Amino acid sequence: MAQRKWLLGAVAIVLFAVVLVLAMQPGTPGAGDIGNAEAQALVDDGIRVVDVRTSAEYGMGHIPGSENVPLNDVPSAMAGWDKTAPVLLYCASGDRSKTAMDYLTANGFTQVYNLTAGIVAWDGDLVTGTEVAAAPAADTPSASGLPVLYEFYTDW
Amino acid sequence: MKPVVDRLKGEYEGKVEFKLYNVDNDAEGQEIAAQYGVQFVPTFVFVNADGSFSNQLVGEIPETQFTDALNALK
Repeated sequence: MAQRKWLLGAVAIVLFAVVLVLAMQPGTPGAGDIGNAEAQALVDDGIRVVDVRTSAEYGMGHIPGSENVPLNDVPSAMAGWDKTAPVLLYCASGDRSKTAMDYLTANGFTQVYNLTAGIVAWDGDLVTGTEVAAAPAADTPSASGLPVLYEFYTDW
Repeated sequence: MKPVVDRLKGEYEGKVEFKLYNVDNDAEGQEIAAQYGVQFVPTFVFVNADGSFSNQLVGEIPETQFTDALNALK
């Protein structure tokens, strides 16, 4: 009898130690804002990746395997998604995807991740453009005779 | 960036030509963006008066870095 009690106590101590060690292991949080390393790990695991930028932005360059669901389309698109399945959201710099993350979470999604710094800071693989880029124009002096600053933007 | 760019556009009037393109609905802007290999927005491409490329900056940029790039234009 005493031997059985001792054995049970030993098993309990071992189990407690295992749980403690596992809890101390660094890992991807259950949801929320994450950086490139955590996001890459999720991508490698096959998470659903959603690009909430406009289609024009998506066409210029996006994370391989991502699907483009512009932010305004997220409410209708999410109706077909499994609310318990993990999903990684990203945009240009993390603002629109944060909005999408908050929306999904408020609507019952339990594992929603946001790429905090957005694709502009992404250091993983990229699919660069869906069309062949036009050949760079030869250096053509500006018509105004002045140097030129081009800004390429969207409404967001 | 819009308030910063709008203000600098006024400050550099006559020195630098500012060309702003909404790539969602501007075909010309999309073509020019493709020529310069633009992948994300906002992207700022700085081109000298002789047409040679000077600099390219992406995303939210500190104003000092932005003005340094403008001042480096020839």
